Amino acid sequence: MLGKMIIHGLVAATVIGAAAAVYAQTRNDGYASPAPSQVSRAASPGKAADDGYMRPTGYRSHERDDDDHEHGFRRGHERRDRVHSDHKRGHDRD
Amino acid sequence: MSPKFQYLLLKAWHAWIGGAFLVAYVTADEDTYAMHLFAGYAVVAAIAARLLAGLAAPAGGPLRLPRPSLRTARAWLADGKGRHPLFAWFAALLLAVVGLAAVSGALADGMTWLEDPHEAISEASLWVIVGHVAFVTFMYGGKRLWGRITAWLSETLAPMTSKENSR
Repeated sequence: MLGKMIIHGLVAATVIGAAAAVYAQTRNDGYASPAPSQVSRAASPGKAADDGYMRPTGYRSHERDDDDHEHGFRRGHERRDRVHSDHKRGHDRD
Repeated sequence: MSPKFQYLLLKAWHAWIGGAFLVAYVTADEDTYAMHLFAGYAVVAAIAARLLAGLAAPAGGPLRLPRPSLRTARAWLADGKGRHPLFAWFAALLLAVVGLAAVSGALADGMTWLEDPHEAISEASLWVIVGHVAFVTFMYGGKRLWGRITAWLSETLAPMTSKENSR
């Protein structure tokens, strides 16, 4: 009985995980992770020069070094806004 | 609705919330935030469905919400008859803690100050789940195993003690 319950839970986790992955892909234009949209070249003339390095962008990027390794949850929730702002910026560029 | 069908629904719900919580916990990292969001809302939906089903279910049915009480626990401790009271206590505690974790996560999207409480409640709920699994495993599997161990011990020790007594 216990073994069956564990198997049922794992099957449900697989189904929900697959649905969540599809949701994540549709939300991020085909990317399972929104990481590619988070980094972009710092090309604006008022900021750093375009030296070929990829830099993280976003309105809270100056805070990220302090607690980068500790608060995975917080970064996750904050990230939504960053991703959205990055998308917006991408559309503006087009 | 027959009790058998209610048990089937309960099992399906158990798999749903267990699977959704597992996915939400595993995808809590920032790189899988959209998956975490999806699984978290699946947990919220599971809790809401369970509460609604518990309210609508007929009295005495398996879908009724757990109602732990100190009186029942005392009565069980006194005579040891009936269902173990920890089943109801664990079920109620799990519904409360997992529900709180899921709802705080959903609200943390708008209210950022809820992110740390959400993380803390999620960690606590994991330990409640571990306790629930350990308890259920002991009640259904561990008791039988313990019975076998004690039976084996009594079988092996009985000849030794009878020999010592004959001396």
